[in-house]
Amino acid sequence: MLLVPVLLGVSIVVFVALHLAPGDPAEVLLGALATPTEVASLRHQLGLDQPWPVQYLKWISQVLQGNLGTSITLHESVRSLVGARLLSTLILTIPAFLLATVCGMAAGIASARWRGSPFAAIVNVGAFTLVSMPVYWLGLILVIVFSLRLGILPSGGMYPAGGEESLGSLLPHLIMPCLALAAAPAAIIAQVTRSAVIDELGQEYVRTARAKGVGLWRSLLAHATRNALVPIVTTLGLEINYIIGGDVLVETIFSWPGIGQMLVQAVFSRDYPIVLGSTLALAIIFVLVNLVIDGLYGYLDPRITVRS
Amino acid sequence: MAKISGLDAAMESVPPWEGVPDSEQEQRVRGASPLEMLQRLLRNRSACAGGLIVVLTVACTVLGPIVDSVDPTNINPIMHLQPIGSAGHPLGTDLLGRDMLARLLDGGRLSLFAGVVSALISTVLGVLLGMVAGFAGALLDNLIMRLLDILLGFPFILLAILIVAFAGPSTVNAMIAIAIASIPFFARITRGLVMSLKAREFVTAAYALGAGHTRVLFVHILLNLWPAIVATLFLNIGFMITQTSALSFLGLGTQPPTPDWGTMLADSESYMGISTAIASLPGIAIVVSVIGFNLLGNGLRDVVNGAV
Repeated sequence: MLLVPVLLGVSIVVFVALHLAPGDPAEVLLGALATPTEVASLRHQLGLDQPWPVQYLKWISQVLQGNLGTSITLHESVRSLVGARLLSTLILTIPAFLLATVCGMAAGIASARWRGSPFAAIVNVGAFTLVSMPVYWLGLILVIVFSLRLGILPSGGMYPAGGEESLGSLLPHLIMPCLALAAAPAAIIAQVTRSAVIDELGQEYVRTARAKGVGLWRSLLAHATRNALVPIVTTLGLEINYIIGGDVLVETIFSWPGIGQMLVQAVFSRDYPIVLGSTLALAIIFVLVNLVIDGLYGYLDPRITVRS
Repeated sequence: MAKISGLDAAMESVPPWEGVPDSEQEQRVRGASPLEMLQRLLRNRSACAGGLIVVLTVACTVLGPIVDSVDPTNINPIMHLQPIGSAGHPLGTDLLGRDMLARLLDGGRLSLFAGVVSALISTVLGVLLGMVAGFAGALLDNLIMRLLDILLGFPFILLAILIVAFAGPSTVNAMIAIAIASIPFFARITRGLVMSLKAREFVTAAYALGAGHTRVLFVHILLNLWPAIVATLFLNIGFMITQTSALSFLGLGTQPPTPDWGTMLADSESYMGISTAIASLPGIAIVVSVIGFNLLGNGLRDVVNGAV
């Protein structure tokens, strides 16, 4: 993936989409009682009366200098808003990504190893159900079971209200959003891992290795799984798509103070700078992770070279 | 977005062409008439189970509102939160006393319709773009695929949220947004298939017989392409249902008081502590119908897999 053109394209799409939106931020800001003169002067003040290309160039040159503008509704710098929330989003998405990858691969390898057993059948049916289950419903079910019925986990937020912000108080709040976010990607990874490992196990080199006295587990992990990593890594790109998309929903359900929640609120209040800034931040994470994944191919299979 | 694998009922039953050499396999498949395909489909357990669920859900949501004449938007605060099985309300009532059965059926029709229509829109546009790109090659191919790369630079739901932010929240706009966001996936799959079909002898033969580019692409290649397209279409309807419902859940799709499964789930958030069972109903409806479409799609893919 060509990083710069894609990011430039992303920024143009974001910018154009929001400026075509109905509803004038100046009118939203001033309320229904504002006179046309007041609206016009605020539009001028915010630079909204200039042509789009001019607004875009101004905006992008500011962005390149690290300045994402000022929020229209919160009157704060978008960079500090996004920066403050980025950490919360990463605290949620990185564990979810790791959880989905580790659990998905373990379940996939195990169900390939014990192919045809009741265990493999349970993994398969479970994975299929989780893939078909929307993340927002899974989130609600978790809240119903663990918060409302059992009362063992908090139903939302990142830290207890007014309580101290420590790792110990963070963890209980992290469990449910993380599980909801990781479920579907883990299921997809399990499915891909299973079929990739089974494909490799059928290859002759595995039989040769076994014939030469390599143990069952070593041939499974060091031979078959090692060679199945390329299709699995491809799925990681899909996984990050699910996780960033799911993040927006999960943050909304669990009132997680991250970028996704801020983005949805900003769409409703037509706070262009925040929508632009948070979308750009998420898209940049997405593109960068995909870049890392592309780089991994060359490492996993030296026959694959990445064109610069 | 391609569902990679599914319930392995379909996988365990070895397809008739497995282990058959490529050349022979091609011959078998080329000889497969639509009738034979249908027979294969009927022998596929996954496809049959999925087909049954899909037919039942569609029949319920289409015929239900005709049989059951209760108005799904009729508010009756005295009868609010009636339990499942209460007189006159077989599935109880919601917080405003609206009949849950009527809302589920009416909302289901909208949710299923939104999923199917957005899958159709994205398939038609994606396939057209992919066909042109794969067939034309060179500059046009590069142009189309680089533009689609920009769309792929966004996490899926983020792009849809942006489009809805631009067009304003409504069912139709949510459908269009989800459709546009998934065009690149269809285009990529189609492009790959067209590029491999283009090199086959029947294309050369068609040219030799005097066919023009348009005829070769839209008659000869398309005829070989459609089974794979149909399978991909069905594989994606389930995903489209969860995604359009996700937008409704966030308040960016169908607007109240019109019910769809996504808005019903969003409503249920406010009373899930009081009535867990009723709050779960729309989620169960989504999961069941999505599983149905995914099973059917997996079965179709298995049947078609040898065919292209």
